[in-house]
Amino acid sequence: MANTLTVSTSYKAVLDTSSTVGNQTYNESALDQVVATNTGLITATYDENLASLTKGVCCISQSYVTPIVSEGFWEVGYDLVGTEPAITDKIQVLFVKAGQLIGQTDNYIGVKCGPIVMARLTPGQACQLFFDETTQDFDEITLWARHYIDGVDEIQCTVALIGA
Amino acid sequence: MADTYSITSKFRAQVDTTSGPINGETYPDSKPDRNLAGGQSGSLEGEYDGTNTVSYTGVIDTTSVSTGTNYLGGAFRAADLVTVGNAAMVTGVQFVSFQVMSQIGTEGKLSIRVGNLSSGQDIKPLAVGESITIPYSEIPVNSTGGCAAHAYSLGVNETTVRLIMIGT
Repeated sequence: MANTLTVSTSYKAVLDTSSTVGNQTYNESALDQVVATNTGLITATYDENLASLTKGVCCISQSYVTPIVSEGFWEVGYDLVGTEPAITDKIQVLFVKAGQLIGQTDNYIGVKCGPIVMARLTPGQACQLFFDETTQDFDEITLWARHYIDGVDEIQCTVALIGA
Repeated sequence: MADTYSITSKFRAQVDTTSGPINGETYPDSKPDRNLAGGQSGSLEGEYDGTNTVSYTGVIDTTSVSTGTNYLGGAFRAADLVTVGNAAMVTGVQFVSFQVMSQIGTEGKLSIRVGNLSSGQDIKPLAVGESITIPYSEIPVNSTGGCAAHAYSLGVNETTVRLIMIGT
């Protein structure tokens, strides 16, 4: 046997099919027939010594986008369980969830692959990326908070990393 | 009301807790990885434009990601490509989804790259039956990346893929 990962990134798209008849609007929605849904299932193996779950405040602001595993990414007091992969390792799974915020209400956690912005996560939102573990470097995957001022503008973040 | 989408992300991590041999016998077992709380889940939700979506179903005849044609229908063999929706969409991409539906021959896995076709980030290659959804923050179609089936050969090695894009 081996350690196993079951990874799913599914989607659902719902089309607004509301109609107006006479002087009344009838709100309605239906599964989008063009794109519908996808279960997004993949299975893989992993090394339990290259996996971590970290919760804390991301103290990298928009101007200083850095790799997740770099020094200074997390505000002092973060909670790390497991073994965080090194920046020189290859990455397999990145899971990011934005938590509560204080201060500016338009704050978010940004997620980038190289120069491409993959998501801007507001509180409660999450995303996941599943990389080719043989080629993908950690230092090309970056996160940042839109606003960060210690004790003033902060957003919580949960990050699960699984290396290879 | 509006057109809405949600991408649900979740993973489950199981560590091999096999013990033994005990009296010559091995007892295979696995348990949720406690360091990862067994796994994580969450969703990303937003609004999209129901007229700015497209579905491509067909055989990928691009053999190298670095020479591909992004996620456009150009990555597919044109002769039998089935396109539904707005094939002319150019911007505002919110997610791309791949599903490897079938294969013939010894095609191998579908390669996917995010961003620059030569130097972008490589997503997990997909085998038959596997699928993945990749979020984007409203970027142009020609920035999303590319895909390839390396061993494509007409009538010999073929991978049939369903590719979905939605945008604002």
